[in-house]
Amino acid sequence: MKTRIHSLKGSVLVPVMAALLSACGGGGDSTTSSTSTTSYTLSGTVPGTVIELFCTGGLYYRTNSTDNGTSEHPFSIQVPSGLDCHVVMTTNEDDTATRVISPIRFIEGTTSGDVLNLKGDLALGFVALEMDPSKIIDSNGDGVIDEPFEVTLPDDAEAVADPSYDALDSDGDGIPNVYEDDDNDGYFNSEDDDDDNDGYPDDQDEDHANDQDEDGVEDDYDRDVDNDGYEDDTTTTPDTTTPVTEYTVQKGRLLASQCAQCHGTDGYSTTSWDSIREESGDSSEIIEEMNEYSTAHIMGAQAIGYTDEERQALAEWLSGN
Amino acid sequence: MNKQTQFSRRHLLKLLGLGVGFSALKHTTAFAAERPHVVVVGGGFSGATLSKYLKKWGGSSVDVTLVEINSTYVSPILSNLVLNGQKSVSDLSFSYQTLGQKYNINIVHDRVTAVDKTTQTVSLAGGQSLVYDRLVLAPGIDFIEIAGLDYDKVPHAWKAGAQTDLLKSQIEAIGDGGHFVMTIPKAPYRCPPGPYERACVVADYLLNAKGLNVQVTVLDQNSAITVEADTFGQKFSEYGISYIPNAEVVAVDSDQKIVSYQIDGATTQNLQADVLNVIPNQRAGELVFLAGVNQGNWAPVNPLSYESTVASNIHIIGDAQGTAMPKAGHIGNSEAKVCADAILRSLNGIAPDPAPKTNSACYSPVSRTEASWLTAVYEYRSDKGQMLLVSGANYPKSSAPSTRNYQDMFNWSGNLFSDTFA
Repeated sequence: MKTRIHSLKGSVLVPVMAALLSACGGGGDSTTSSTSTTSYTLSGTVPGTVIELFCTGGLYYRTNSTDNGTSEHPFSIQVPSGLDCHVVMTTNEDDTATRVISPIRFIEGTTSGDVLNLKGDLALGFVALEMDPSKIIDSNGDGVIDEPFEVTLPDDAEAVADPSYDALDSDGDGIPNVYEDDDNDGYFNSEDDDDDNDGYPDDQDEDHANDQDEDGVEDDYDRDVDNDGYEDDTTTTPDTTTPVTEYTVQKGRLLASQCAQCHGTDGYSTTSWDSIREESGDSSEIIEEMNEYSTAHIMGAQAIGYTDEERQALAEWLSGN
Repeated sequence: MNKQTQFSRRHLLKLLGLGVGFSALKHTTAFAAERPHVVVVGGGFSGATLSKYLKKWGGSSVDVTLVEINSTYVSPILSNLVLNGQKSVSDLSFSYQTLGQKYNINIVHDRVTAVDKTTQTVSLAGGQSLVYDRLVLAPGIDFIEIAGLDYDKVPHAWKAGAQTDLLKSQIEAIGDGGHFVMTIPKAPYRCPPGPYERACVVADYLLNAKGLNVQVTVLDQNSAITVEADTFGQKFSEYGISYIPNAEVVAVDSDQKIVSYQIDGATTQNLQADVLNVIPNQRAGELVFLAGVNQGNWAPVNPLSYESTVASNIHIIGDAQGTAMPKAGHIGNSEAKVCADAILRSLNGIAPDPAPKTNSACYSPVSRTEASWLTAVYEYRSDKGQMLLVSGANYPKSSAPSTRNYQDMFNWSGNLFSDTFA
């Protein structure tokens, strides 16, 4: 048990608290961090609301809706492509007694899911969130609705994902881990020093010792360990994979990948050996190089293991053709 | 809420026997189709490479979970250079952070306790269960026990890390007139040139760097030097290494540092050492036996996909698989790419590449300044159903030791490490 809800552990969830303490509709500032990957915009209108996204790799994004004087406050938030995200919307966020926390479930045609994976910009329209805590079903009184709030998407949005392993929602109930309250003491696990109320602080309970923000992603693999909305070390997350939803057979790619042990992934060398990525788009240089070494050299000794057709295919892939 | 057990929703429905109707009770819609889940067990060169390339090529169309008990991997490649002080264990240590963060691989540090092939579920010691569409086992090697052998006293140093440091500290303690004895396992074993390389590196270090008068003896369970026989044979003479082939290790006295061996089954002979390094005979990692996908000591696979020939949807790559290809990190990385491509094809209903190639390369230091190399390319022979040396190329090819090769060794390993872990 805790004495006061605001006695948070260190700086954990400070931004969430900042959001909770800020006035409703306080300006629409977004703490979205940017990466070099493509981003899409998630937008819509809501009653005065804080919108939070809990995403793959422990990434965290948050924005407030903007008070435009109507009952429908607009918001928009940038989300990198390819990320699985849980979306949570909170009304009356500045008052723990009256706030309503609504994890969102998305309906798309005949399917539904609790995880969004944007393939393009997505406009949700008006999301009629409940603002009155007496009107929600909340069996443990923690302010979180028991069943996720359903939002219907356009049929062609293709934005609902169902990851087979969802670290951010360990029990798969649609309520992200940070808004779970294991011991029903009125404090979310992410706020609670002793989630299971066993008298031992979480940092002495093995299953929590390595997850500061308790979002379910271990600190070592959490790109935003303190959920401050900024990636902890952007230098470790350069251009990442481009999501590929359909496999296409590429003979050259598999062959060229066999060069990477010595020449680096995708032909980009990290040592003083040559990069073999041919930015000019001219595959003939790679083929020439493969042909010119004697077998007394390790390059020549490797090269004779590949047929002319194979050399052509891998060179074309490495030169982007 | 129970954080200890994670079922996929589909699996939970299956267990409850409710199927699709369950969601209809609460929702008018069905849950979105679950993405395929590949569970990879073992984060060495092959398992790490496989995880990376599945996500690199499969992107968000596939979920990958890598189960690895250690949070840090120590590369056996280059680890003989720890013994002569050219490298440290930390130089050869890799975390799984980049794989987790850059490629969105779920990293779980835990141990597998059971594999249920019917429900396609892997159970972990921590209580979690993982349901897989494809399971890839990359457990590396385990050792076949030798009577009396205690690794804490007589290190194998054939899995790098604490064992490497232990052997290093023992070597440091050796004095003038001392005797270093090592034993070489019967093929197939991990890293064919590795033991011969170690004998050379240690001899050079003790004799030339430390200027000690030390005897080095190599007991080889094979009938002759298994690879690069010219290179290592010449170096053995240069260092005055006593080389005894056909020496089967039958027992070890770990306290007295005595190794008992027999030559061709003849009378047992004993050899006492100051530092004893026994590298035992090997078999696939325990996981292969736990999953019941072994045949004898190794796991038989179809080399087009590395799928087990005795269980569907389970693949085995790296040292544990039973093809004729050598067991080593470079070719483990190579196999992993063929396996990743085959799995992605299979998840999309496409047959595996009918003509994959793999390659092997290894730089072997033989002193503090010189290294040799060994390389080969393998092709799929459909008439035999096996990966064999490309015919007509006179493989494997090798190079005599040189200082140039010593420099190139780091160019090679640097890219191999980054292609695997970064």
